Amino acid sequence: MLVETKNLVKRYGDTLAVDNVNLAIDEGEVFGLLGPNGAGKTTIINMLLGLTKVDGGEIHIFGKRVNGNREDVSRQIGIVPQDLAIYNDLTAAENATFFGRLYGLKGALLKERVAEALAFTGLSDKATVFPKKFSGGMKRRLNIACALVHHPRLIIMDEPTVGIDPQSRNHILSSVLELHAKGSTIIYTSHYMEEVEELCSRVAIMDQGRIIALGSKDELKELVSSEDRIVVELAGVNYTLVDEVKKIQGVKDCLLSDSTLTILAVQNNSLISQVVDRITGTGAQVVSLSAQKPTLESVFLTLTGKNLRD
Amino acid sequence: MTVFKYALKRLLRNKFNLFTIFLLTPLFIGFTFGLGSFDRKGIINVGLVDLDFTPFTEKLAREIAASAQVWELAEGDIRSALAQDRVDFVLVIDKDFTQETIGGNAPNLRSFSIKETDIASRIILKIEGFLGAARSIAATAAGDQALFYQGLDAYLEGSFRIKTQAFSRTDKSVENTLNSLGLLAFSMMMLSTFSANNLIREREDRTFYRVMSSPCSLKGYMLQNILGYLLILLWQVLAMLVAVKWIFGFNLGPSLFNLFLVMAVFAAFCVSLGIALAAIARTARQAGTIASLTITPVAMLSGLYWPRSLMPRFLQLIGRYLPPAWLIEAAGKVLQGKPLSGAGLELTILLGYTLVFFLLGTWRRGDVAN
Repeated sequence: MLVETKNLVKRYGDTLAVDNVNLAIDEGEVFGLLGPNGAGKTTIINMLLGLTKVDGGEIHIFGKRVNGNREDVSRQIGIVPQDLAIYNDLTAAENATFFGRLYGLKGALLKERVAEALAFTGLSDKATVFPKKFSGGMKRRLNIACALVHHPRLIIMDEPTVGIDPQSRNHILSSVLELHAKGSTIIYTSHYMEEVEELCSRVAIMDQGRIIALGSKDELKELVSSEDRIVVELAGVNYTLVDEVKKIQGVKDCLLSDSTLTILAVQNNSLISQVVDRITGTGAQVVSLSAQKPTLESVFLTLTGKNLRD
Repeated sequence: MTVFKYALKRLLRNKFNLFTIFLLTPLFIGFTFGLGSFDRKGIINVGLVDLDFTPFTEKLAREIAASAQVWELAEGDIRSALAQDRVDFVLVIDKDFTQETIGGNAPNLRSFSIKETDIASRIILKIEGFLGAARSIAATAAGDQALFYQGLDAYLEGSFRIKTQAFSRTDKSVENTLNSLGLLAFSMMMLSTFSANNLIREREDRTFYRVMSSPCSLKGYMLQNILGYLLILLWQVLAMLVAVKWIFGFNLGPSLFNLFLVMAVFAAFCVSLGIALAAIARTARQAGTIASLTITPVAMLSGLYWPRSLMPRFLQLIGRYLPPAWLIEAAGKVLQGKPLSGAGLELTILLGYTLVFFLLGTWRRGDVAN
């Protein structure tokens, strides 16, 4: 077991930010922490890094207790923080060199690793450029390069794709897969369900500081396999729409976001025609309708009654 | 020493920082230091109304000009020149002054100055010395004008000259130097906001978070930052002392090295203060406000602006225990020629304050992550 937490607790005043979290992550795994903003993902990561005081429970990484061995443990961890954490007054290569040196690299090995990290993130030709001249995506890639320069055994990526262009996002996602192929253990947090679904072998779904579901993607989807997820695009939304749809027998939940209506219902072939009838009965028009297979998003919806990006 | 090396690298890469650190601050402080001093040659302006206008009065004017700036005035301009502060002191030589002197009399010189100033006392002493010699020569010459001038020239050329070197400074000049050092100390304390702002910026741009995620400890990080900023402050102190001594021609006591060491201890305190400020303040603006609200009163109470003895007794008592007061005490002793060990107690207390502020700045309160 590379990472193990037992009954992890963190309180901020009266708020329970992390509520008895138990995790066990194996070497070579890409482990996803999925949850909306404020679910407690970053707090857990800060506790893993020894940066946030643990109010209860224990953390073991590489078989060592983090409390009391922080410097030793952190030597083998690479962190890609949620916020960009790079120096704008150092070039890309200098940034990577600085963080490499903090982890004890020096001389020819340091140079080699810096070049390797920049090449891995597609920034070799920008080595001598200052990040202030970078696009948002390039800054994110440098943020990753700085975490990889010392070849960490465990890489923690905290929402690494927030606010970037699709091209850089794809680059980052393929980088994660490549790191996994090389045998790295990765903890990947996100509130983008598609990313976690694409990258992670096992996922913990978090809400309000608690892990509400934990398992492989298939295991989690199995939790909602007895449900239909119907997504309806509408033109002209009526105030009474959601209440009307919820009245249909078999509908477990119904959420309206902009002009998209998401309905969770027990599997029932005749349900779709009833839904259409009820919607048109309120005066709204159906633009399109699709019945979807269970996703991690629908798992979250089922377990919490809200969307991941609420 | 990675943090130290890169902190300096980043700091010195910024052209504005370079200008501020290496040029503007030492010059500003040096200039302020120079302004704070009254112990300089040429600062006294003497107005001269010569109604006699003889070779003797010309020689007297030249003698005064050796120690002061002499401005020739008309008798009607005396009041306005003094009122407008163009001159500090006016000397009027009446008609027949030379003739009466050679004749063996002791004619009076009229002088005018603003009341309650003794700024010209040095010049008056010099004039009295010159006239005393002239009267003695006149008595010997017994009314012979040629012999009088011959004797006067011999006196002015003087085969017997004394070169003086002060080994201990008078109380007055030490006080003037301390006033100027106080301004320097105040500037150094204000510079502590510079280090505080840089540390806060690192916290805001999350690089601090990343460094703390590495094997680098909080104390190690702070210590290396302190070294970086200390190096810069030491440079500024050194540049300032050199500028004051060799550009402004100011006497900084018998041991410049000891004075530098005293200021170096205070520089360490200032950097520690910056570290503590960064730990207390959440934003750079907050740090600036805290600094403004605390540093100025502390400087006043400690006697950085004026001697503490001018303040009411209870304020003196408060000021006595504030860190800059110990600097003034230590610097005063060093300026009076005492060895560094003579200021041991003051320097130890100052180092104690430095340690306390360092611990305050690096004391881990809750989460480093936040």
